[in-house]
Amino acid sequence: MKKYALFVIISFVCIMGLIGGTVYIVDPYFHYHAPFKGINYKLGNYVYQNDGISKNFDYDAIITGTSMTKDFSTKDIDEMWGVNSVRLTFLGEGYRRINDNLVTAFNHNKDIKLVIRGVDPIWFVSDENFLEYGSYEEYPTYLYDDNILNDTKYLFNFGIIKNDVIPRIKDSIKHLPYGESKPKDLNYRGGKDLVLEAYERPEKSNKAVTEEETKQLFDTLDKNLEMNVLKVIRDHPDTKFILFFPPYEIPIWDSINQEGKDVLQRRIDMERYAIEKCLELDNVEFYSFNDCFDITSDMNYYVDDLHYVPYVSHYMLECMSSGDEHRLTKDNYLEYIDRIREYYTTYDYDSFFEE
Amino acid sequence: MSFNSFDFILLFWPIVCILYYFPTKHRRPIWNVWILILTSLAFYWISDGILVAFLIGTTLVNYAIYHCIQKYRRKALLIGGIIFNVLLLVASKYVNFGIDLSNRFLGTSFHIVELIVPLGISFITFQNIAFLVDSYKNPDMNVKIAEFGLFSSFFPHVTSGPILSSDFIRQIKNLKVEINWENIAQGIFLFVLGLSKKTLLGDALGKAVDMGYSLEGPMNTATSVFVIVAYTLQIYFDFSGYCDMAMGIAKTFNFELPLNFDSPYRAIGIGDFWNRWHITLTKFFTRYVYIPLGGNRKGKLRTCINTMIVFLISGLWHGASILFAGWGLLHGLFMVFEKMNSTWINRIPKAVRWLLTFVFVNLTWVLFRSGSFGTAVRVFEGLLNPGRLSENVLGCFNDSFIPESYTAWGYLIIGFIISVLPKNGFRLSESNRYGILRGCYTLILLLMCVFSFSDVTTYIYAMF
Repeated sequence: MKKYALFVIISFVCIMGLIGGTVYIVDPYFHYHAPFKGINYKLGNYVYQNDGISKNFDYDAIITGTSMTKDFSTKDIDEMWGVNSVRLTFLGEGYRRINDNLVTAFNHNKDIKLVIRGVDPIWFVSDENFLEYGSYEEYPTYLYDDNILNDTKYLFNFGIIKNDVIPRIKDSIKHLPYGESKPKDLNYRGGKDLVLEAYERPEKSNKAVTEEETKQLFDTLDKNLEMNVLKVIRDHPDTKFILFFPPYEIPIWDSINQEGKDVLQRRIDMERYAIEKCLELDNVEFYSFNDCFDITSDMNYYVDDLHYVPYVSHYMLECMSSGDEHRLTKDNYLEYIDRIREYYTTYDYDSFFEE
Repeated sequence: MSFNSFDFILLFWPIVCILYYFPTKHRRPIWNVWILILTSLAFYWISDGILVAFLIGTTLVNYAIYHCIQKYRRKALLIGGIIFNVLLLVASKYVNFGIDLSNRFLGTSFHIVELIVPLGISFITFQNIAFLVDSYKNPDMNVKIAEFGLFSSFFPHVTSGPILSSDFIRQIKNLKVEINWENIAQGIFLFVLGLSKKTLLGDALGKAVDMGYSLEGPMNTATSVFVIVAYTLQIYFDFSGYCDMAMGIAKTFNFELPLNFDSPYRAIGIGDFWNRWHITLTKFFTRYVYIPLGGNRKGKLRTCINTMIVFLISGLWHGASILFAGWGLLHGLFMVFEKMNSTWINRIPKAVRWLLTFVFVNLTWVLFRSGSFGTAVRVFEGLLNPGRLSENVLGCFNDSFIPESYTAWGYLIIGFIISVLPKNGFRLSESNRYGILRGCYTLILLLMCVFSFSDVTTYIYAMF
C-alpha cells in the first residue's frame, strides 16, 4: 500500500513538474519570458500572446489595433521609422482591451518611442468598459492577470501543449524559422464577390435622429475616447502616437446610409469630434484614409465587408512614415471632413449593388 | 473551489496534508481537528467568499441549541432548533418559489427577490437537524465545540454531502495522529476513480446533454433517446464521481465518510433504487421524516400518504420548482405502487424489474433536467418522431479521429456498462491489490483528468 501511494504521488509530482517546466521553458505565449535562444516561436495567436509580448519582448515601438492592423508588417515599420517594433493586434475588440494592453506595455517598458494605433470608428459608441470575448470559449484571463495561482491553466493546458508546445519543440529541433509567418503578398487582391458574400445589406429605413440620442452617443464617444484612447497618450508625452482611421469600404458607409441620411451625417460629425479631441494633444499625429476614395470604392482592395488586402496596410504605413499624405492637422481636418461628407452622402450606393 | 481543479489537487489538498501530517511526533489529535476546521473554513471561503460567515454562524447557533438541549432536555428547544434550520433553508431557497406560486394561483403580484444561497445549505441544514434530533434522543451524547465544528465544516463533504450522522463524531473523538498508508492508498485510488468518472465521462456527456436540451424546434427519437440516457449517465458519473472523491479525500485524513452511492442503476425496483442513490439523504428522510410521521405503522393509507410526503419534500429539496416536485411525486407514486403490490411484483423476473426501473428512472430524470415543462414535453414528444441524432449533439464528440457518431454512441454504451456491471468505486478500493500496476493506471487516469481541466465544470449537486 505504501509503495502504491508513494509511487503515485512521486510519479505524479515528477511528471507535472516536467510538463510544467517544459511549458515554462518553451513558453509559446511569452507569459514568463521572451523566447529563449534556440527555442522556436511563432507569432500570430494574438489574444494569447499579446500580453506576453507587451511584458517580455524587447521593443521600442508598437503597432496596435483591431484586426484592421493584422497585416501591418513590423519589418516595414522597423525600416520606415528606424525602430524595433511589435504588433499587438486584438481581433474583434473595442478600445478598452487595446488601451489596457498599451498600459501594460508602458508599465513594463519605459523605452517606447512610438505607438501606431488603428482607431476603428465602428467602435465609437461602444461602452467604455466593453470587452469583447469574440469567439473564444474561454478568454485566457489567466494570461492577463498577475495571479500566479491560475497559471496552472497555462502550464497544464492540454490544448496549449498539443497545439503550441509540442510543435515548437519539433520546430526547434528542425531549426525552422522563427517569428512571423511568411510575408504578406502585396499583390493579392480581393474582389466584389468576396465582399458581397460577407455583407448583408440592411433594409432601408429613415431613422429620425433625435437630439437626445445624439447627445447620448456623443457622451459615450467622449467617455470612450477619454478613457481608452487619450488618457494613455497624455500619460506618456514623450512617446509619439500615430493614430489613424482605416479606410472603410463602401458597404460600411452603405450600412450607415441605409439607416438614413441624418444618421450618416451624424456619423461624420462624430468622426470630426474624435479628430478634434485627438489633435488637442501635441504628441499625436493623426491620419485618416477614408478619403482614399480610389481604395474605398474599389472592392479589389477588400476581402470581406470590413478588411482590406495587405497592400492597403503597406500603403498606409508608407503614407504615415512620410507624413505627407492623409495626415490631418488643425489646419486641414475640416476640409477632410467636407470631402468625406460630400463623397459619402452623395454616393450612389444602390448602383453598387446593381452592377 | 471544486475537487476537479488545479487549485485543489496541486495546492489545497497537498498543503492540508502537509499541515495535518508533518510533524506527526508529539502532535495531539485535537490540533489536527483544528487544522481541519481551519482549512475547511478556508475551503469554504475560497468557494463562497464572505458566506463562510454563514457556515460559522449556523455552526455556533446549532451548537448552542445542542448545549441547551443537553442541559434542559426540553422538546421545545429541539423544535425551535429544527424550525431555525428549516427557516434558513426556506429563506435561502424557496422564497421565490413561494412568490411564484402565490402570483400564479392567488393572483398576487409580488416581486421576485434576489436570494443569497450559501453553498451546501441543503446538506448543512439537514445535517444539523439530524444532529439536534440525535442529541435530544441521546442524553449521553457529549460533543465538544471543536468536534461539532469539524462535523459541520469538514471540507470533503460540506458543499455536496454526504449528510453525516452523529456517528461521524465518534471518529473525530477516536482520531489518531498517524500516517496510515492503507488509508492513503485507498483514498488516492478512490479519489482518482471519482475524478475520472466526473471529468472523463460525466463532463463529456454533459456537453452533449446541454447541447441537446438547448436545441430549438422539435426533437427526434435518436436525439431524445440520446439526451435522456446521456443525462442519466451524466448525473450518475457526476454524483458518483463526487462521492468517490469526497470519500477518498476523507480517507487520506483517516476518516470514513458514509457510502452515499451504491450502483443505483443496478436497482430492481424503486425502493432498491433509493437504497442505492443518495443513501444518506434516504436515511435522513426515513429517520427524521417518514418514521416520525408514523412510517408504515399506521395502516396502508397512512403509509402511502407518508411516502408521498417524503418524496414531495425530496423533490422540493432537489429544486424549488413544480418540475422537481413532480419528479419527487412520480417516484413516490412508483414507490407506493411497489409497496402495495410487492407480492406479485417480486414474482416478475429480476431482469424485467431492472429494465422497468431503469426506464422509469431515465424518463423521470427528464423532469429533473428540463428546467421547464415545455422542454420536458419536447423531449418526450421527440421519442415518437423518428430521426437521426442531431448534428449539433454529434458535434460535441468531434475531438478525436474516430467518427463522431461512433464516439457519441460509444460514450453511451461504455458509460452504461461502467454504471451497471462492475463493482463500484468504493468496493474496488477495498481490494488489497495495490501494486505498481494499479499505480500505473491510477497515474494514467489522474494525468488524463488533470489535462482535461481546461474546461472545468461544476457538480450538478453543488447547486443544492
